Amino acid sequence: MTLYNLYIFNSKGECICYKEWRRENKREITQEGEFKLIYGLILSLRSFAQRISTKDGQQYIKFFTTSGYKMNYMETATGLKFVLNSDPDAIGIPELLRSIYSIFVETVVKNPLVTTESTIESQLFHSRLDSIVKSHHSFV
Amino acid sequence: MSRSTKQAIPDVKTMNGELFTLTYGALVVDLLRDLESEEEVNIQLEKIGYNIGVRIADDLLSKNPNIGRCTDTHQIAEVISKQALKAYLGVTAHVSQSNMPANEFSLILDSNPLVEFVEIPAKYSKLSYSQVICGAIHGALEALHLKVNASLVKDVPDPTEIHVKFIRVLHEYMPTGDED
Repeated sequence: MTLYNLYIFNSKGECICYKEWRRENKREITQEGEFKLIYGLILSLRSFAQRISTKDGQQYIKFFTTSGYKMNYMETATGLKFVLNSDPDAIGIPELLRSIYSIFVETVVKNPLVTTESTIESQLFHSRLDSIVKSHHSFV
Repeated sequence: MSRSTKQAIPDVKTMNGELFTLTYGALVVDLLRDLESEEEVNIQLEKIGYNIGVRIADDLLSKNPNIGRCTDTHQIAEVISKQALKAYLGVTAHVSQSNMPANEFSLILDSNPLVEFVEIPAKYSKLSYSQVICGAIHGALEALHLKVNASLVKDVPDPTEIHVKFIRVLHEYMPTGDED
């Protein structure tokens, strides 16, 4: 079991953080193109889920799984979107995403001198993110 | 899972309430000294509150994962009065919705820590002392894609009353050229 990579999108759809840990394949498109692809996929999945639903009320995407990986998704009411690719069998990922959100709030949102509009440069954020991911029980 | 139960308890840091009250007072006095009119001070306090609100929304959500999606103004009022004000001002407000359309409500703070030591002299009668709270409500709801009007109805010496009017839901940003 392992964790592959993480994308964080702000409410405007810009990727403000990209991290990779165990990525074996090189991407075939540009990084920019990949961010757009992921963001587009999320929006499409969301509207698909809403349209196909036979129940009233908002539908939330939590993850989708292939034979080789699982794309875990969390969205906040403020429009932040967290996408974490992991092994299909990884467990405890929703909790991990919540912890990443807390770290983001503690180190980025609460710092009045940093905008949440552009790529995160905070060293503190990156080091805490790195340590929480590497110490997670699904990261082997 | 023990891991998730451990993370559920947010660390609440406390500070001296009087220090907070006096700091806010010093800020308001400084603004009154620097700016020409009370209206101008009210606008600045609103702006300060707005900037706080935009960021505080994420903080509240990350610490309270149990806050769900609100479907009407009554639920919004409940979350603001029982959870948000409790977390950041240490007091709760009660909600009054009598004689009002369904998209409006009033929050009444019986004890408002900001005005604990305040008595407003007659020459500053136009000053909205607790305007910063209105700004914060405005900013926080805007971060949640809800456009509202928040205005201070009454303040010192009466209990603080904030009137909130829901205007519309703001649409989430969509990339251009995307068919949906």
